[in-house]
Amino acid sequence: MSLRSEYEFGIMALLSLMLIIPMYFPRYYVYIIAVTLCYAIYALGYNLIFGYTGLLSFGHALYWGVGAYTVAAFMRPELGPFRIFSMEALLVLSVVTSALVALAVGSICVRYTRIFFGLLNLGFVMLWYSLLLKLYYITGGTDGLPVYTPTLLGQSFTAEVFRTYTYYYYVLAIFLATSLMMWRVVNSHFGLTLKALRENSLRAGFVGLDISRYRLASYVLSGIWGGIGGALWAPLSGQVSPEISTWLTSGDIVLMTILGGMGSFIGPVIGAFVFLNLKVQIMHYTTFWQLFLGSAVILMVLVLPGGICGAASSLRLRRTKTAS
Amino acid sequence: MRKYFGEVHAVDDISLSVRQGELVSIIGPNGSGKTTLINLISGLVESDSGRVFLKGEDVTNSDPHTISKMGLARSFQIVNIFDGLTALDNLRVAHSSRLGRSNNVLRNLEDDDEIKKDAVDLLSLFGLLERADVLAGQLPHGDRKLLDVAICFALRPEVVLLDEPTSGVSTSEKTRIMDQITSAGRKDKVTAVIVEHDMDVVFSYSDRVVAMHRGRVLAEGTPEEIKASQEVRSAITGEIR
Repeated sequence: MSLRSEYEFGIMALLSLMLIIPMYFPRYYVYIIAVTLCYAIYALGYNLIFGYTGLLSFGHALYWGVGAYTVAAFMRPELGPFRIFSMEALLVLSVVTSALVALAVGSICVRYTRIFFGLLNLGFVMLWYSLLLKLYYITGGTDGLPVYTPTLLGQSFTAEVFRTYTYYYYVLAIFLATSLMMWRVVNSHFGLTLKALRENSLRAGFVGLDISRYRLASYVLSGIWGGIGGALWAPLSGQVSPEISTWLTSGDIVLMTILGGMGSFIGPVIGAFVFLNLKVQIMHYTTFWQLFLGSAVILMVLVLPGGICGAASSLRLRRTKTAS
Repeated sequence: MRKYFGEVHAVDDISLSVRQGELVSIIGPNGSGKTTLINLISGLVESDSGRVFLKGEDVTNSDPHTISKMGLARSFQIVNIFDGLTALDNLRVAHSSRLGRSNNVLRNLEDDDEIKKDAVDLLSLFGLLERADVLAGQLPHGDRKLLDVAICFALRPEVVLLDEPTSGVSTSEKTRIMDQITSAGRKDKVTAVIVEHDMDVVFSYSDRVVAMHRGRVLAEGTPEEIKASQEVRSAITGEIR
């Protein structure tokens, strides 16, 4: 089989598997995989700024939090007749809020690179965290906010059916749509321009590219993907609290991306799957799951710096070489 | 123009004007301020005093991308390209910037035949076509240098500043680079300022030669005048040969 058809076959097989999961797998797994898909969207966005643009952010859980809190805040009973339960409307609102926050935060952060960019983002996520704690009347403080079951395309479902069946397909559809869009972005002129900035921002300036503008655009897109992920996750969790957006949870997305392989498009998605499912499996046996995941990441960086995808492609390369 | 780095007078009261379509070579021993002069003009370093005019407009201390958009392109003494991208993509970055398509988010780059054709044409002009899909970082030095210069021409500039475009390049490739520069000069009236150590190249291609020494202009004139100048010979060509 040629490389391309093999690739397409793989995607079709995986997609068919994803479609039948709710029919054959225990409900618990359906829930876990739906959560994973939300993180996968977030990871796709994170990879745009980290993998493609070369800017390492330690504060991207900010956008996950903005998305999730947007959903929860518009569902609050205090809003009375203005409460919003339509998931589509909530998603649009989350895109708007995360884009606005990313535009504001990004226009400050993209003036810096390397560790300064990373730490500035860390500073902003902690600022956001303290706002979540202090603005009690909007955010519910340490308790956070409950998230009710939204309607999907105007249909309402019982919480049980929603969480283990219908919403899974909803999340899957949005995952596919956002993946496809991100695929277009990274393969566009803009995507190449971002890679050029990553490789050599000095020369990029001398070919006439306004570096900060492109970095900001990448940052905002990446923030929007984070916001969509967080917004989709909120109804699954049923609850949002400040702990979802701290510098610690920001670290998770960095680990997922490195684990899966930041050099590739699909790497961070695989990273999200491996990270979250490994975490769930290890948590069955021990509460010290961080110990095992931490070791896995250290091993990854030392032995397979290209992540899972990097290892897979070099294996494939070796196989084709020995074959020919 | 003037630029001091601490006690070092890198560029000390230099005044230079270049006409459209002219090819001016800057020669001088190492440390005479040639590269600093290029950096001042292209906006890489800020000047201490003096002004830079491009097509009559004041561009002193402007951002590199602003100056670049006005039609000035430069190459670098130490190769400065996009190492993690293929040779073809290195040129596609420049072509899409020139055509104002860099912010195009949804159009597939592979479907853009115009940019691909431009990039392929330029690669073959510089003899790099066979290596189109090789990562720039893995190319041999001579090819990297050629690519650095090719990126400049991908921008279809009106003015090029080339800092030692032929250093580390084989003789046949030297001719290739210089022929490209002079043909662009004739065809598109491209103005070129080059820093060059190879005196054969300097004397056979330049319209005018500027000899620098310790941050100042030592002599300026046609290749014949500079070749004949006793002063230049003792200070510069003598030191190099």
